[in-house]
Amino acid sequence: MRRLVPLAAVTALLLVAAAPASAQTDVGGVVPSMLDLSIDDPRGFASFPRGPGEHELLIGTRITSTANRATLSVVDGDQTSGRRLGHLASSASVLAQPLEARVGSDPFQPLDVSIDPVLAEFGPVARERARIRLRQRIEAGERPRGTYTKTLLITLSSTAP
Amino acid sequence: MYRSKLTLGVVIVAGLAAAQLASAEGPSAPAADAAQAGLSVTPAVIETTARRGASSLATITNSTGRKLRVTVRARPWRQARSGAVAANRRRALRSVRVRSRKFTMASGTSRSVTVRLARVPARRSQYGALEVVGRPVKRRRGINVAYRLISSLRFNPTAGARRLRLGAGSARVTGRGSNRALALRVRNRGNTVDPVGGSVSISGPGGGRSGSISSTRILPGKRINLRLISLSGLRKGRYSASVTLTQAGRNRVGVTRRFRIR
Repeated sequence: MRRLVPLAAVTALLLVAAAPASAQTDVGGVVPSMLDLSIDDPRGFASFPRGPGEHELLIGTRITSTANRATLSVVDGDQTSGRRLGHLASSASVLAQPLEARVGSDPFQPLDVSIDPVLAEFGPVARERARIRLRQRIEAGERPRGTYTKTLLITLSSTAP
Repeated sequence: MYRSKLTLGVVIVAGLAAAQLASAEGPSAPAADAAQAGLSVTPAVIETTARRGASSLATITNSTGRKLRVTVRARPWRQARSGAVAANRRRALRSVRVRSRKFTMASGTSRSVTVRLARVPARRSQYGALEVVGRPVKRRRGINVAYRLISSLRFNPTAGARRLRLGAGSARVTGRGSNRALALRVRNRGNTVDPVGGSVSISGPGGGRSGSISSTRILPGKRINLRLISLSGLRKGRYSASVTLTQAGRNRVGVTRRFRIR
């Protein structure tokens, strides 16, 4: 029994000392391929003041992707074709200029096109931030009327067919 | 006395070991929490062999904090001459069926959908996109945002039906200044999307240059302008390019093309 107590103490020290050594062993695991998109909930563009001008709205996103290359784009969720594609509309009017979007300092891209405008590209990323800047231009002589509504599909896409 | 010391020793061992484990697991736990906080689809590439009735599962998880109305559809790809692909929102991939196409997901829930190849096309393979759209149940005035995730669907041909064939067309100079590059028209005459790569060597009055071609997937039957090599810094004049295209680890096409830098 007298021998047992020091033995327990030595074992304790060995176990404690051995624990950091496990950090040097090979570790690994299987990560399933995935796409994950989170979006902040923006509020705005329901109405516009009279007179020409530019109005902007920020949408924060976070992206997780295991794909070698993935793209972020914004498309009209209400229309796939026609004159209302990419345009804010109320029951009374359709704005003349389309909504535009960009990420970072890239040029704005209109959303009234049938091809998804690619705003940003990513390699494998985890919780990468991307801020989408929406712009609506109101022309001189245009009179925005009513309450505008539009659903936008924030799209995270694998690019390898 | 000795028994109590022994007990104490065992308690210390257990305590220290537990502390070690806790410190090892500590940092990873928040990372796991942070890894998902939106709408996700797993896997990003759904791949199986093209047989009638062949099916695979995709798992959709809603961690957005909002109730979502989810729609899942199989779409064909559109491939641009640059090689970039986008899911065609106006069309459906008719030979592929999705079970549980529309449903509502509460926050914090997961759901698996089955993707099945109902009919094997004549080409013996089928490629497309799986589109997952999640719209918040409540719609309000102004801008409403919805989630759209596009993953790849690959129903590859069986080993016996696999065809790897490429067609090479003319070479052309694209871009200007530092973006000037040589591109080759390449058509995928096979029935797979195995990446096309290879090597290129050019020679002319401005000297020679060689390099490897970045791998690009080309849809069966599609033709793209495959970027071969940068021409930045090369003098004006007539050049010759020797191109070898590889696919699935073998040389498929070897061509020589002449081009001019103006």
